[in-house]
Amino acid sequence: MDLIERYLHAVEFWLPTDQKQDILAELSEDIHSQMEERQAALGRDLNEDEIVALLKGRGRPVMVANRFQAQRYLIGPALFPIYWFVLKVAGFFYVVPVFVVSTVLHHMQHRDASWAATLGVTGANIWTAVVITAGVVTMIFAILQAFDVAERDLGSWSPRQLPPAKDRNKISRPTSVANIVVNVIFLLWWIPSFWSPEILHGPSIYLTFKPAWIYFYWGFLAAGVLNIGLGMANLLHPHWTRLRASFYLAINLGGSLLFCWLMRSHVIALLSIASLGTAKSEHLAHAIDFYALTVVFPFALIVTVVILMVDMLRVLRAGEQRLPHAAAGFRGSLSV
Amino acid sequence: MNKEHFENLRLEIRRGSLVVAVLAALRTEQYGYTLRKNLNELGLEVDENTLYPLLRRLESQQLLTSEWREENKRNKRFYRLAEEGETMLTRLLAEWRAMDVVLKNILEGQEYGSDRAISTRG
Repeated sequence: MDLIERYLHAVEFWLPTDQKQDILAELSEDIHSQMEERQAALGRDLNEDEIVALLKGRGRPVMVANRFQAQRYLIGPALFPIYWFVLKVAGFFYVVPVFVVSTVLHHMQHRDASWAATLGVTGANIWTAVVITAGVVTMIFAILQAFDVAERDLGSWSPRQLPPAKDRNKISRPTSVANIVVNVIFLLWWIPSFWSPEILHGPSIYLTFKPAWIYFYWGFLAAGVLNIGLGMANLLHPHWTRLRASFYLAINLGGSLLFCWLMRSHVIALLSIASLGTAKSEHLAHAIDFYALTVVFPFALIVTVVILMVDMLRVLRAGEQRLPHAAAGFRGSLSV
Repeated sequence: MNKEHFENLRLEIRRGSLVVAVLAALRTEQYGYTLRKNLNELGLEVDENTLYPLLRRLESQQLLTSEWREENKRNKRFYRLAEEGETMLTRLLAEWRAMDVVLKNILEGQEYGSDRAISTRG
């Protein structure tokens, strides 16, 4: 009997408070009925081993009690797909870029350390970002669930409110035109303004870049020209192919990396502003270099990683074979 | 055949049938243990961890009523079908029979189809 009391006591701990006594009384009655039946069949009292077997057959106390609990979830089935999507987006556009950038920055600061050691350090540090990101997203969705947002807001939907079905590989003509126009304007500004390392040579201000500037000049010029070419190809064939998407990725990657390199290359050879004097002008040149390295460079690196990931997605998507649209078949059957 | 998949599908079928069986059985007043025993004897095996929570759920939905009463010097909780439960059972049984007819038609249609295929080949 002691075993049964212990079993019931263990079940009681996990039961819903308002029904505890009632459920326990019924459970106790059921166990005693089962015992009585066994005893009647055997013609004797059950021994301890038999009682243990009987209780084991009923399952662990926590599992038994759990069946009496109302079904609960932190994030319900209506919100879960959205939650999972947001989690993936946060991981893709926040955690991955932070990981890449912190790895590169760590490597720059500790050049003597191997890449494996650097990856080990940033990999360990990134867990904080992963846990915080996942925690914040989960908490927001748990709050939405608690307020039953899915039932109230997602419950009332209409097919009319659904976004139009788009071919994700189609390139809109306005986008291609905008791409061409922006790059033409860029080149019209870039070619005459920066062809020589002597950028400004007026009486009040003098700015010269180092000879290495020529690489940046031609690099950005090439990126602009290639972008115009790609824009024209996109106008003629407004659909991403894997080759064209890879080409776009290469242009963007090249341009972004070139910009990152520029930010950390201390390209200013001489800056002289008449009103500031030599010492202050030099100080300003150093400040610009420092700002480019410590603020613009990490930001540019993050943007580069994001651009790279978006472009890679485009490349992958461009190779996807889409199933024939169901609506097309439906239209066909109507027209017969 | 995957055993786990079969077991999951079997449980899905049983879950719905168990509610109908319990409602039907409780047209006659019974307490939990005898109800479980009777269902088991009739071929519907149900364990106590499924039955008691189900009885409580059906009672909270006002399909069953219950009362504690002494029998053989022990307090037992007796359940019986409530008025609302009777209406629900009638509707569920109609649904059950309709589903049975649909299934029969599907299966007979397949048999007819396979017979025709055999006779065409023959």
